[in-house]
Amino acid sequence: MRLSVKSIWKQFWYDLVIFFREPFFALPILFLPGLFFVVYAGSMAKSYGNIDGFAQYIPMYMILISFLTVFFNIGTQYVTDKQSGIFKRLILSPISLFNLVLTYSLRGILISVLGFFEMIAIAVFVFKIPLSDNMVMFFLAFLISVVIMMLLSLTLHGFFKNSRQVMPFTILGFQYVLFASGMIMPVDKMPKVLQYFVYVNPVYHMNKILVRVWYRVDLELINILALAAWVAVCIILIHFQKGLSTDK
Amino acid sequence: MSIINVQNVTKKYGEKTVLNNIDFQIPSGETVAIVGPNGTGKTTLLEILMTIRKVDSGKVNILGEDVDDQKNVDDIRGKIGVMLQEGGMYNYIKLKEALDLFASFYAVGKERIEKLVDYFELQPYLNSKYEKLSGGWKQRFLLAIAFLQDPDLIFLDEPTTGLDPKATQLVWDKIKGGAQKDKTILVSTHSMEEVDKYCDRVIVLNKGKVVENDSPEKIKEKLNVDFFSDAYFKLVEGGEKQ
Repeated sequence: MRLSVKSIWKQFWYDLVIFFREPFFALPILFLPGLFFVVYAGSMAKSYGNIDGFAQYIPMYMILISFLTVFFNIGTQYVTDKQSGIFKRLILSPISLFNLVLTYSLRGILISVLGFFEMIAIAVFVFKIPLSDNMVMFFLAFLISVVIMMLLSLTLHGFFKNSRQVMPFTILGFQYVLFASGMIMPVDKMPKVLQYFVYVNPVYHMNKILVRVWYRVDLELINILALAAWVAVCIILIHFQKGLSTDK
Repeated sequence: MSIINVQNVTKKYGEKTVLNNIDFQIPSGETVAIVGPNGTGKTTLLEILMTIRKVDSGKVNILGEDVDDQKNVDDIRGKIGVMLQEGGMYNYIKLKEALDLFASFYAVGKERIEKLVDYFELQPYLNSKYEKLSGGWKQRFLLAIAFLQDPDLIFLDEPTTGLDPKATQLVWDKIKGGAQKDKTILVSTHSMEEVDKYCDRVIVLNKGKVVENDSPEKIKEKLNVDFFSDAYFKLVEGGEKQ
């Protein structure tokens, strides 16, 4: 029995409806980074009298929304759906695992894109920050970052079987992304040992690439290679997980 | 005619043999219980029959199709109805939305949904979220989803666990009543009373083997007991028979 486009659309639609009904997902994911953005840009304007150069922080807030959506929300939901039997029930209908992952991914991309436009709107309408003259490429680079983040999220969360196991990982992951990605603390001010943690952090490289695309500056090969290495690691881990889950 | 045919099936997890060379057939139109002590392979067997797990050796044929072939698996999944012990439903989905969603998977029309809503008396709860329902209504709703595409074969994994006697009876009335009476229903349960009262056949598993496969009446007669629970204890404490 083949699934119609209509049924995939319905799965995506209801997946989205349920996401917006989850009290601890939609509101913090879309609202809090916007609030932080307003507060941070506002305090910068107060301290320096202007917000020149603040544009370099816009990609950071976009990545933060994308991380919260794709890693925190979708990653943990992927685990809890497995735990509560939702995954099993859906797979026992004509819907395939591919369709399920596709709807998760579409939601991740959609919410991230909403976050993207939220930040753009705050930047333009609240703080009058001029947009990049490389917006199309910036948007494409952002989408690629979201897709890589989705791959990372589903791969790493694939190792967990229940919410009890995944919560410490999610909390640690959040701290790691916040404090060891160069988003909050300047990397060169960190102790040398901690800097290594930053350099292996994919979010750090995403941020670097997006800032460079925003300012239309040539990309650094190391950032691209680092993300490519993470994609390769994910592909290897997915094969490893397939080996673990096989019943034969 | 057999709707399920299991031949020489063995399933191991590592060194542990969970199902050991088991054989049985299930005729069409019967309500069949799978019973046995915890850890005896009931869930594994049910999951093999539902096409979630693969066997290490042996053959499984469901609705005339060999489950070894992935193409058949996709086809079988479209034809079977399933109610899982863990529910497997989104907490924040409204009943009417879940019916609409699952109807789209099985290409089921509005008429069929309306018929099921009437039969399972879901009308007052259609705008309620799944998480807001009581245990009995949750089970009733999950049953409606299992019957949605009017399947010939339905798997029910402990459908009455945690329900009070009245809710249990209501669930069984819905399983056995109306247009459902000609379906083949495979049910995993710990309630021997339910086996006695509602099932045409019972497969008793013990230590990975089928130790009995017959009607509860015949099993009671063979073992000279009045209640199936007594027969069950004799069977699982009396060793292997196959």
